[in-house]
Amino acid sequence: MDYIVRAVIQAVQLITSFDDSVISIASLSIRVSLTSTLIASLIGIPIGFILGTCKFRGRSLLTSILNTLLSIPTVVVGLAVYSVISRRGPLGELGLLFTPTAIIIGQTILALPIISALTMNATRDMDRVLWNTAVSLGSSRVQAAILLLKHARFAIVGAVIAGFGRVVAEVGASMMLGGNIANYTRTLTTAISLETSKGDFSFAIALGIILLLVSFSVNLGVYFFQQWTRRASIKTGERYS
Amino acid sequence: MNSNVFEIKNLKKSYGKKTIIDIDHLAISRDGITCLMGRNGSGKTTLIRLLALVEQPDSGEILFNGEPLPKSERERLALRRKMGVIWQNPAMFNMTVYQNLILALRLRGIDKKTIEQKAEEISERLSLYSLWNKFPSQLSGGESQKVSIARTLIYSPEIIFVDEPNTYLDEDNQRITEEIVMNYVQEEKKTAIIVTHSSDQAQRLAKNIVRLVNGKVAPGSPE
Repeated sequence: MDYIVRAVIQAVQLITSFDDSVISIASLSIRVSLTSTLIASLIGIPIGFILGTCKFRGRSLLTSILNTLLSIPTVVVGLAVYSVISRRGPLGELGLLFTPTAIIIGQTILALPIISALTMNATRDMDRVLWNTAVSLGSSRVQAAILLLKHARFAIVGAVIAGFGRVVAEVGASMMLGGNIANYTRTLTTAISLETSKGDFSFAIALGIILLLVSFSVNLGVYFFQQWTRRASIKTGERYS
Repeated sequence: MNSNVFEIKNLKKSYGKKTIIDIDHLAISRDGITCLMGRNGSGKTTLIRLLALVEQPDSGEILFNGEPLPKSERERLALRRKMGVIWQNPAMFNMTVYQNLILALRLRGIDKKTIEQKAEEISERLSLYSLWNKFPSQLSGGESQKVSIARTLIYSPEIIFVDEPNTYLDEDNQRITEEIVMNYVQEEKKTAIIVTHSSDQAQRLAKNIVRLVNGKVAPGSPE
């Protein structure tokens, strides 16, 4: 039990003293995870929306593939991207392997199915009547699509958070594609893995606590954002009442 | 101007292998209220979706004021903005009642001052002020239907379609809905097409009654 208590004390010390190595590791983790979540959202939300609202041939097959990709192991994604960007791979000349960009590519692929599938579910559950309502009120197709996305915004934000949660906590792809290079590609999860294997549990647990704090902060930020948008929409009405 | 707002010729619409609409000829008068009657699955709501340009027919022709409905999406949108549909299930967007109310005006790019003025007018008329800051989940069935009517009437459509207005309403709210629609048609000289199951309601409101049976116009309806 002692080492757990020591770890917590060390975590507090590391956080409050703004330890350089911890800041470097945490900031890289946040940077790559937010970037990959952003890219995956830009691609995944439209894919999920189309799969959720449009009927076309092959939709069921695409949905099945998407659902299968939800459970793809991170090391498999790491391996697939590795084979493409390693020196012998088709994109080997770009020199991406063992760079933060490589981690972002891997994490984007990991977050994409989650964000797409959850967006698809959020928009598929919407009544067809909602689309008809938007169109009959005078929406163009683009306006109707934006309205439906706005209608499902809280569920879509949930999808994005789930995507972020998946990438910020993964270790396999980051380890394979980033190489866990100190002060360059070492993320919170790869550092935890390394410190545990070295037997430095205290430092590993301290990093684990920081990882949880990062995750918690993002969720808290999103919660306040949702509350703020709700209050802002009510104020729009209050101005005239 | 043509006395018929719509004229339908050889109109067909199917979903999969099932033919929902198969009308050889039907004319709908511009004056007052026309009621569409028929059993469940007779094609009433589908016909409204086709007339309101929410869907495209498989074949046939719909004339609006004597002119064929346009093919281009831009022209269809412009025409659609002259029509309003009050759906059976009043689907509300996940925003406040006020924002739902002014949605159609915002979609048309109308200036803020006019939007505020029209929102106040319609809210005064239908007693909606107290609902402005509520979200759809906080409304009763009757309140939702009232907001749904208000957000359509706010842009003064030339034609309103009302799809089975009684389904989710008690008698009081049915009467209120009827009155609102009747007043709008009479005072503003507009056209209304109402889908209803109720013969009493049809007899009470309609100048013309069209009966649909299995997607076809039943004998005795105006042709």
